[in-house]
Amino acid sequence: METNPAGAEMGKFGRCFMDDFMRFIIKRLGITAVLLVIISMIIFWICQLMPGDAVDMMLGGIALQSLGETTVEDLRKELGLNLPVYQQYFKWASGVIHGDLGTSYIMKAPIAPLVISRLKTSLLLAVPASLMMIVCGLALGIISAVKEKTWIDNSISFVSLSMLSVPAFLTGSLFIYIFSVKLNWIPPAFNAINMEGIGFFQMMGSYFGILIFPSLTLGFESIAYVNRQTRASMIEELKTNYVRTAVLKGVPPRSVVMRHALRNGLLPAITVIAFNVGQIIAGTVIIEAVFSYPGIGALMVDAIKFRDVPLILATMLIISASYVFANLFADILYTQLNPRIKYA
Amino acid sequence: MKYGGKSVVKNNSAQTVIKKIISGLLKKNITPNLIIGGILLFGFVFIGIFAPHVTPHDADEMHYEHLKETPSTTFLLGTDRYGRDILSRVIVGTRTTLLMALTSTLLALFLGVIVGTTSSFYGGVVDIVLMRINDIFMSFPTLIFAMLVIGVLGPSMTNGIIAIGIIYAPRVTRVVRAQALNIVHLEYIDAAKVRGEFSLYIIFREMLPNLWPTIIVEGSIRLGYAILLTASLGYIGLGPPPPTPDWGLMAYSERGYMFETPWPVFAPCIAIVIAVIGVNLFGEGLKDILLAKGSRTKEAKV
Amino acid sequence: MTDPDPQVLSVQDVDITYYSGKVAFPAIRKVSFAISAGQAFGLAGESGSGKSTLAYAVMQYLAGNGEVSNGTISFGGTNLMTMSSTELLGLRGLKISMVPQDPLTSLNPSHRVGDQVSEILRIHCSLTRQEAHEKAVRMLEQVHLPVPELTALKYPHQISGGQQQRVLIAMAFCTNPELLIMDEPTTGLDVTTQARILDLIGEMKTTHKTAILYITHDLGVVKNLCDRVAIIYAGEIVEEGDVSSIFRRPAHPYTQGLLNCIPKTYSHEAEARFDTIEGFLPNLSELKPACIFSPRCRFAEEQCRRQVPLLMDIGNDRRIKCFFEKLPDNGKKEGTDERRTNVSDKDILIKVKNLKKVFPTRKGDLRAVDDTSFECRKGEILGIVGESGCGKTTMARCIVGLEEKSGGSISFSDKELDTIRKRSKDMRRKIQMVFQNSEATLNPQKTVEEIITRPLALYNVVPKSQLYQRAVELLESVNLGEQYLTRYPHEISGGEKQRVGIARAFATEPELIVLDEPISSLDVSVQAGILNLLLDLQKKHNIAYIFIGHNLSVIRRLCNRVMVLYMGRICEIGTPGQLFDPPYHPYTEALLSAIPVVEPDIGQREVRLGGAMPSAIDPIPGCAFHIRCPRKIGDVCVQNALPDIEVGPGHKITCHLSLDELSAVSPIFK
Repeated sequence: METNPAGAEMGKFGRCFMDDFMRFIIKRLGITAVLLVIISMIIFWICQLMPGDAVDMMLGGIALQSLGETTVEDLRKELGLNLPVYQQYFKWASGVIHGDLGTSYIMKAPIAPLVISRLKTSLLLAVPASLMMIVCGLALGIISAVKEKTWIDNSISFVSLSMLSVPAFLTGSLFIYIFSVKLNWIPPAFNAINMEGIGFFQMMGSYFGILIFPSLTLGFESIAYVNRQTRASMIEELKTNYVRTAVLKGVPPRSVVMRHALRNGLLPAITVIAFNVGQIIAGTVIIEAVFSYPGIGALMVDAIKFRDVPLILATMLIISASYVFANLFADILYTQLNPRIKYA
Repeated sequence: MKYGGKSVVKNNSAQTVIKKIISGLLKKNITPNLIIGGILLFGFVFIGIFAPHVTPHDADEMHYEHLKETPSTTFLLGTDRYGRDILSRVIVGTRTTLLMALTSTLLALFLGVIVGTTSSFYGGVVDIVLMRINDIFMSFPTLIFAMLVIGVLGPSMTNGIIAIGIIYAPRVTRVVRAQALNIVHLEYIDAAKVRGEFSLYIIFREMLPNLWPTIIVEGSIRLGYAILLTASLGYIGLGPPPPTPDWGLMAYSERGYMFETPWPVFAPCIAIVIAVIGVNLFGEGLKDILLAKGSRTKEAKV
Repeated sequence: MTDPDPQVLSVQDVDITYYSGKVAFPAIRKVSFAISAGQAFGLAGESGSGKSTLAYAVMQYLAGNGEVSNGTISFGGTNLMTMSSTELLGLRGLKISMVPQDPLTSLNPSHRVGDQVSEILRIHCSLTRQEAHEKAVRMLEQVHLPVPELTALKYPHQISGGQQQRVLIAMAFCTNPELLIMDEPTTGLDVTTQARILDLIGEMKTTHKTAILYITHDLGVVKNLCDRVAIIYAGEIVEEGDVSSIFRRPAHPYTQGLLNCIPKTYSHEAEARFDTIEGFLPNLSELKPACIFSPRCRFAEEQCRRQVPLLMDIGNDRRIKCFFEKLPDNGKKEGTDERRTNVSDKDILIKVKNLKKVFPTRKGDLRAVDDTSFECRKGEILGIVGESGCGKTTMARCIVGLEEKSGGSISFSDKELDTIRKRSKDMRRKIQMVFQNSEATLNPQKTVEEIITRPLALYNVVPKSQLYQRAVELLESVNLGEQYLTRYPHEISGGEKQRVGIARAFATEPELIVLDEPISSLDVSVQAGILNLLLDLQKKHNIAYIFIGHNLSVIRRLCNRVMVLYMGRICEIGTPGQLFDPPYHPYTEALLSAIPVVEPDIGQREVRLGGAMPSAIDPIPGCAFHIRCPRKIGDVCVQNALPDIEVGPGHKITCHLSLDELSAVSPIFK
């Protein structure tokens, strides 16, 4: 006779859940891996469509003519460009798995370390921007929803709408104009800052001095997105029957919003937040162009302008991968927070 | 003869949507959003259509005596470093940017509606496969993918339209499919199936008329983003190449001189902002009319 | 000097108005009633009567654009309307509780069920987390939830609708409130589940001595649960008094009409037509000084149309709002009706043999329809009865061709039937369907004309030049005028939409129409009209119906034969007369016992089912009903395949009990 039948049930409950969870994570990781492979194939294939190939890029027109056909062919063979496409792909892909992202034609240097350092620089912008987006976006969204149709809501909505309508390069240019040209607080462009070996406070100092504006610009648009979505989903939640039940139970209004409505209203917001992390990552391209900031976005623009195929491949891959991982994280978070999926 | 005259049985769903808009306007559902947005949007469209005739000066004419001037009565937005009237250049740029944005949005809507409705109607394997492909396309951040496509095809207006259209199509698909899923299991669709209607008939004559409000609202939202994307591409040099005037390109090429004359940079930017705000406001106004959810909403008094 | 005991709830001369733009809707007008401690007070009315509005007004929870423009609502002597929001916060959940209408959406999907109950205790009774949790579990036990400690840890989507409603009831009673407001708490629940919930409410009422305000549209429930009742029509209370007295002798024409509309559950009298109440609800924004019910009243006189009657005391603690103290007649129409023709000699139209429909899921195959066989003859009305999940809709969809069957055969006039696309055009024309949800049955973007002429054109029923004429004829046959042709679905009422749906089904001149709960979404007074219409059309065109429903009283009056389904299998099949008298299948017994009966003089034996519906995925070799059956024999019910017992001509029961054992019970209805 079981001494505690409920306890045994509970134990089964718990064990089942852990298994399910691990299985779920593994399945998701698998899908992500497949997704990344497909993405890399698509990128690779699109790059193959570019007119001209590496040799043309490396040598330029005149050099090509003077070298003669055979040398050019040898060069091609050496670089592996005469192999069929899928073999080229496998060569590249196996290189990637081992951490070798190839060599840039233009810079004549291995890509991997370059991309990593640029990525770190971009993250200095992207991470604070994302945090800002999450905190401000959610807070403003909740406030707008609770104060729906009051002047607070209307003004936040209007500001949001404007933030969404303004292209990033405008905000960036405005910041530069106001704070660099007119007020002369910040130098308009900066030299590559060596981030190694600087103490924490110095880093913070230089951050606020230099990085805040690009960071702010980057997060600007996303704050508006998150705000709108949170507001819309919170308004929906506040109209539901279970909120009505809570109010009729005598739950104080603040608890109704924060403990009842928010738990459910947050879920769609997570999807939007993940999407916007991707937007922020993509947005580095423009921001870095405006502020002449040496990050990975700028690197990609240059790569495309100069048709540096390996560099294009590498930067695209890194950026897409970050986006995919952000979505994966959001997915997992969503299923954890939504009991209907967690305990199907 | 007992019966009244024969009626015209024309299933014109466009008529119904227009009727809905008009009745919505008459019921005084007009929000300030709609009016202001409408004025801005249609103002820009007007300018875009009549561009070359509306400019006070010729857009390319260089006035050597008036280099880098601030706004004045002759040159309402000033002149750039070549002495060209900025206002005229912005006006001419309207045409390019709006044309690109509008066409690509229509392309995205077209593709998105087809895929979205088909996917939701057939369900099952078709739906899963189409949505997975859709997800893959959505894994690329918009700007990145646009850059990639244009990088391959080369910067031009047509290529830009194709790229932007293809990039936004998956987002439209998502929205259309979500709304279509609400409809596809309703009884009148079943009734059509019981009648033995063909699938294409059901999708286009039973489902689509009920999807117009969603499509129009989504279209207006997309238009705003399309304008931004077009300008952004121009800014990084992947838009239509010069001499085609494009707002983004204008902002980019003048940025080096921003310290001396801000106007060549900011004027096109302001045009972008006003255009996008106009489109967004108009979209919000349309949403209030078309997607209004009944008259007596029981709002919770918290 | 002793103070008179204040009533628990006292509503006096209350007016409630909604504002939409500049237009004012007087939703409730001059309503007064009172509830004393321990009393169950029913507020009964149809949709649009304003009963929910009144309930929310008591809780001071009206929507933003509504307000109580007049009168007082007092709770235990204190006026609720002058209270501040802090004071109200202290009352709600503690002294006045509410059980809302929709159990499936009224619980927070992200909180555990036990936490939602203990939350109230923590807020109002200052208990610690641990104490509150323990008390919550005890409450869950009181409402008979299985394994309460475990259920408390579950999320709402993990328990059934009936169990969710029990949780809501537990939440309402856990603070021992003085007043409990219940807004149609059994909507969306099966009739057997409803019966158990009603038992529970009765039990809680006795234990806790709570005053209950029970809002409903189902008069049968009122009769079984409530002590007093107020009948509300278009925002006014037209009759109020003691339940048994009112049901025995209704004094107001509306009450009388409502009671006559409800099909009698059990009578041996000759059947007359279904009674209806003609007309529509008045438009509240254009009220005239007259009796609110006069446009639809059979007895209306000049006085009724020119003055508003006052609430009049007619003795016996009853009040009515009418100029007549006593009604001239009881409104019942005489006559027999031979509509139910004898069809046993007609040809078999559709024959279903061993029909199986299975839906593959991750955990296994879900058996929606499990080896059923039956036939329907020309011109017969065959009823299918069962609760949610029994497979009746799936069966209908297989017959019509919307679903592909997984096994067995369906033959129509000796031709095998497959899915719609694979049927011949002629076959598609002959089998049509009327759907359940009147709001979704018509395409909102099409006019009535387009909707009706489409099947006419598609099947070339008439040449193109006569399309319009035929459409008008079809509309007239469903009692709608020509002017409806140009209207859109959102411009016509639910009952009218359903009529258009019926006209659409008849357009192709079919031989068989499958009707999937066609009246379930309509008010009682509207239902009767549609049922009469269906019967008239059936007689005129000699069409066969397969009528799916869950209201046994309706099915009894309507059908030639009835079959009872449980978990995809047929339990019993026979004429209504055979079904309502013993011998019964145990499930039929429970269903009959759960019907909320309106007639005053009928006794109803109580049979209740335990447990819940098992999952349709695990294979069941024996009887599917054995888990809940009150008359289970033993292992034979679990393991052995079921025999069919021929009880009489055309009457079959599928059970392990012998015929003698089945016949040995007393009838449910006396």
